[in-house]
Amino acid sequence: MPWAVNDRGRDAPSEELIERIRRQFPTEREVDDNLTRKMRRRAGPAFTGAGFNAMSGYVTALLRDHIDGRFTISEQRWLSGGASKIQMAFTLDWSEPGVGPSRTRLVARMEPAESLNSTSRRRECELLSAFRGIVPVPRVYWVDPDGTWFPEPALIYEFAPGITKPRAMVGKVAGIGTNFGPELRERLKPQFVEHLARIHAYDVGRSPFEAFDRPSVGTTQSALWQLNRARRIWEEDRGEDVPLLEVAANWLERNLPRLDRVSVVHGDYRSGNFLFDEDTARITAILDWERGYLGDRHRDLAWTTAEQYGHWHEDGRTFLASGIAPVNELLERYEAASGLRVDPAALRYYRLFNCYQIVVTALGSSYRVVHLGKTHQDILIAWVEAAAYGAMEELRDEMERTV
Amino acid sequence: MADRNEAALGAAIKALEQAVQPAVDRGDPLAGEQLRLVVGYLRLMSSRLVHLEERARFEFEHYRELALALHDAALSQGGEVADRFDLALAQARESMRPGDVRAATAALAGAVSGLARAAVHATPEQRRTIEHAIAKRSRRWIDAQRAWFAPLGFELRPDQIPSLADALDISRVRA
Repeated sequence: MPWAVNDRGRDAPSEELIERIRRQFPTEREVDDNLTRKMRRRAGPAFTGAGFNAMSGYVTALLRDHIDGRFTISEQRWLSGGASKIQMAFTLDWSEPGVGPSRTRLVARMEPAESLNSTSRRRECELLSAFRGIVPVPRVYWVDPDGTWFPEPALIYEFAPGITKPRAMVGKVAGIGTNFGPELRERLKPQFVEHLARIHAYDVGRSPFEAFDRPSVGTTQSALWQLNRARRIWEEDRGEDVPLLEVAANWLERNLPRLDRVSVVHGDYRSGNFLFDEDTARITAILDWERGYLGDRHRDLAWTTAEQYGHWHEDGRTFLASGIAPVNELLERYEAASGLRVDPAALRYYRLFNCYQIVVTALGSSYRVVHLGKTHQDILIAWVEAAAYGAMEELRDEMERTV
Repeated sequence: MADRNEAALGAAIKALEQAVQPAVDRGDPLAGEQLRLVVGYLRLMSSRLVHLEERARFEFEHYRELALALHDAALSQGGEVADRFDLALAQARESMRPGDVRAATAALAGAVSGLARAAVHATPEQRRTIEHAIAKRSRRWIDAQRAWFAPLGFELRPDQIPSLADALDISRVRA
């Protein structure tokens, strides 16, 4: 029951509480590991800043164990844009195996003490590796999945050129609601849809995907894992009870859709999470695969077309999903490009599930992370609360008409 | 009595914009972004400071009315659900100091959430009554949160959000 744990209990969770919540909401093994790790470390200190010297030290320690011969790192700088990970760009001078003396621009991407979403660097590495040559992704060089060299799990990958928003535009939080403008939008549109189609049409049997569980086709297992993951996070993170969230969770559990095909789900496919070259309008990298899993493609489709990530067309009447295309046009193009059907019932379910997920993150996780001062950009995460209530109203409106 | 908090917040914004911002390294996007976000949040708080107490009172009244509307449903569930309801409503009836309002609000929200969670074991008719009442009556509370945070610019349809005074029902709260 909601009163079984209070705010202080969540700030410093006991092993008994962690286990009780795990049993209550079973989910995928890698997700379970990440969330359990989060809870076991929660009572630890607040994040006090990662300076260039410290980050460079972690990078150097990892490289020393992975590179034969001399190397140097230089030109460190912080990257902004994301809402959850610490990212430092740097240049590595080294002798790359099979290549010879090289000067490689790289990004070290590390979890803060507790992230807005506690996700897996192991999964991110596997997905980026699987999709190299299929969609534009940065090449992964090294991964530290358990925080052996870094204080937290981290990944080092190639620095991808490009920008997330037109240079003339003032950035919005985490790229939400990016307006590419009419001309750029038209040129990005076919690529944006084509890349999503390729991700979903990918044969998951081609890669080992060792950090993933594969749900069974014809069952509700995939949807239940995702619902349990979100419910578990709400149970672990929230700072207040919201009765509507309980109503929504009840409805989502009563209406779990069956899986018709196992796809790679990117998990956060939207404006702000891809890079492009403004001159050529070419998408140069699909980023932020950390929420990826094997499951129902409709989850991505509902996310990409969610109100939270789009804006109005210049006509003031047409909603542009992810700032790219009207929803119907985007879905029609997707069906044509992927050969996969869009099921309106599954899309509706995942639209509501995503609203639930957004509230869990924006209201629950953001509160806990900011309250405990766990990241390098708590102020950005404090802003994120404001994104919860539009999604909550969408959820509420559907619940009032449906239950 | 003069409100020095609001004036001090204005001073903090001025200092950040006029003294700190010019000194921030343009090559450090993380610092630039965080400065902009700090100023934005301080502006929000400056505009909301005067309404903090009204917001707390509004949330308390919202959950108290919701709990009263669902009291019979909670009693029919019996056990811990009913006990929590009675406790929360009893706490809400007591004359409260400002600091107690938040605790009473949290107790009411927890009791109603517990009822919603228990509804999965109720009869379909009872479940529907509970879930529908919560969904329908949550509108005002969500409107108030959206109005509160509207200046941060996340809303796709800002014209559909009531003013903060209407959303918090300020005339009623002050009466």
